Amino acid sequence: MPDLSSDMDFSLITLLIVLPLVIALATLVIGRWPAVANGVGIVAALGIALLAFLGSRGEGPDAAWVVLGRTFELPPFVAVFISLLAMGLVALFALQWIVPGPRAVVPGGLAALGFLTAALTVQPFAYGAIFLVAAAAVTMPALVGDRSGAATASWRAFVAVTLAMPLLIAAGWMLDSGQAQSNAPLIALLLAALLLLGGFPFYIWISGVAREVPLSALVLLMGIVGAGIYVWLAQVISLFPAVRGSAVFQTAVLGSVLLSGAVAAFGLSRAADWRSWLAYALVVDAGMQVASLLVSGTTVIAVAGAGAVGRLIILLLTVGVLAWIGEGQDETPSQAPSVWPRVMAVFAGLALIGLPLTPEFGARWMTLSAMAAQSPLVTALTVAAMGIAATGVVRCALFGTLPLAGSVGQSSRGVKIVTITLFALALLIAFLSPFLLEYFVELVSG
Amino acid sequence: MSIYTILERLEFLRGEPAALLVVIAAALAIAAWDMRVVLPALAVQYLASFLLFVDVLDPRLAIVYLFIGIIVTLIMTITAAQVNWGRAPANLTPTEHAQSGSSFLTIGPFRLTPQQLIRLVLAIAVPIGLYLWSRTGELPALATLPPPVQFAVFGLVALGLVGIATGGPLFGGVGVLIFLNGFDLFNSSVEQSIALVIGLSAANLLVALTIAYLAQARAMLAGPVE
Repeated sequence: MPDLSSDMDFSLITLLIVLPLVIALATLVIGRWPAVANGVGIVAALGIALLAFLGSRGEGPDAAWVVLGRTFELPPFVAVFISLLAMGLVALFALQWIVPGPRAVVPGGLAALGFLTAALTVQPFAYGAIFLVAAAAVTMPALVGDRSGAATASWRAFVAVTLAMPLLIAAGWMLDSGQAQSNAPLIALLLAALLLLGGFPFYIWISGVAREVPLSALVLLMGIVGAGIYVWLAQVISLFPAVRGSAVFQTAVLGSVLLSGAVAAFGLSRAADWRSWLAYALVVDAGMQVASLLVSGTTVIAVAGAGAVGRLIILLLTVGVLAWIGEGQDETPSQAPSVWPRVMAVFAGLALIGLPLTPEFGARWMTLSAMAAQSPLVTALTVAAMGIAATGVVRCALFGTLPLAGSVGQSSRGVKIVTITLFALALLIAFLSPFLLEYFVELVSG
Repeated sequence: MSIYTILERLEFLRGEPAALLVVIAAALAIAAWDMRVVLPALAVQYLASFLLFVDVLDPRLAIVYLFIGIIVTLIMTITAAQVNWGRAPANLTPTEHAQSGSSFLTIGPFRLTPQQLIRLVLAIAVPIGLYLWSRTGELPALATLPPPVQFAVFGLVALGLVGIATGGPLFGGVGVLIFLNGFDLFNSSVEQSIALVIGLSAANLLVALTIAYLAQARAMLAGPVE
């Protein structure tokens, strides 16, 4: 019979995992008063961000926790990243105050943060896959909202994460048991990465959720949970340089990236509403996230961190922009959006594609460099696809008259102020993008 | 009565008969289009797979998977009852039927959607194909699994994928549960830690709860569940 003894000492990591889950339950109970739940959520997320940041500086209680023989450890980079995710939740909950969204966003967001912290810190990594399924599961009530299409789209997203879990556990076992020479662990890791990140041919769930789910829930799934999954996957890939170095893995990744770019470029050239436009921009981003797994050494973790932060701020900005032009409001006569939201929409779209002077550019540049080292031709074709997608973004947002899936109405002054603030923050992150990447590289390399 | 006494009494079912029972029950759970047939099949599959778990795992750990299987089946039963066992609501008007976009093929006394037909065909073809393949002795070796367990793992994973690919939250959810059962069986032979048994059991429960939530949400918002 296995040993049941465990060391349950109190530590910082205990707090970072358990505290969000407990507060999530509390906000679920007080959910009938959304403003109170939002307020509690903001305070809690701020506290968690502060705790995690202190952890990154080696302050506070001991940063390790052992449960059933499995260790949870908090390296400085992970602590900083969790701190940033918590700040992202603060912004999301603040946005919820002005742009009402599903009540389940606050408890779902906090619970997901707890599970993501567990996933990013547990050793061996295979256990992290189980926590990722939990993180995805707790976001489901927020995703469904009041549209049947959202239930189906959420189902696809959940299936992608759930199917990836066994693949990752099996890959971990195969690599540990010395089967690294065979293609089986490599294929398992590759399939898991494509499922989790939404690379071709598994991009369907991304375009589905981007079209159907409430926007704040989209930020929760693609911005917060997606960021955790991306960085976790980068950590896993960095552990197995032999897998990344294999020709099969590289060819499959490059093929997936190219096809994701082609699908998105085609989709953006035919986008008929703002949600389709957002969906295909996210498909480009997902494809490039897959490509970033080609970055060598532990730098891949830093690239993932910078890319995830960039996507999070852009998704928050997108919520603001779409609220500005009236998504989700009662029916009023259609009207063309004014110049400001169009400009911000173009910025958001180009940022998801990863053009220069946008928040994801630093990470994107490293990714393209890694791709070019493997295949200049595929890189050139991918850049061409990105160019076509960028043209589609500009055409749709600046010159097109894209209708909303619902209706267009008047927006409040609060929405405009928050959206412009997010735009300024996104510009700041864009400006700091290379420095952020450099900072992450330093943290990761210790 | 201890676990070992039960296992002794069920000795005649251990090994190949249990593996065949698991795969046939899983095939029935995937092929059927009414949850009143799917759920008993799912229960049988979990019960029979316990007999395979004990071949690769300490019986005191293996029984955890059996309990989880029973709880998962209960969760799915409550959910299915709440969504009219996966059938279109009885009071659906012809207009609502047309709006749901379902087209039906009539085969004898049965009316099936194209998805249900594909699921039926694959649920019959996969176990037969797998059985014939295993008879040739060329089934790829999975770790150090005994042949009956290996046959069951392949069958459960393949049938689970058929269910996932051809169904929505409710029927596809059954596919996910079958797939996970196959994976648990495989994983039990390669890592026998209590932490992983707890982790995977919790994951199974969480997946079942999420399936239940999504199936209910979809049924409430869109009518017939697929």
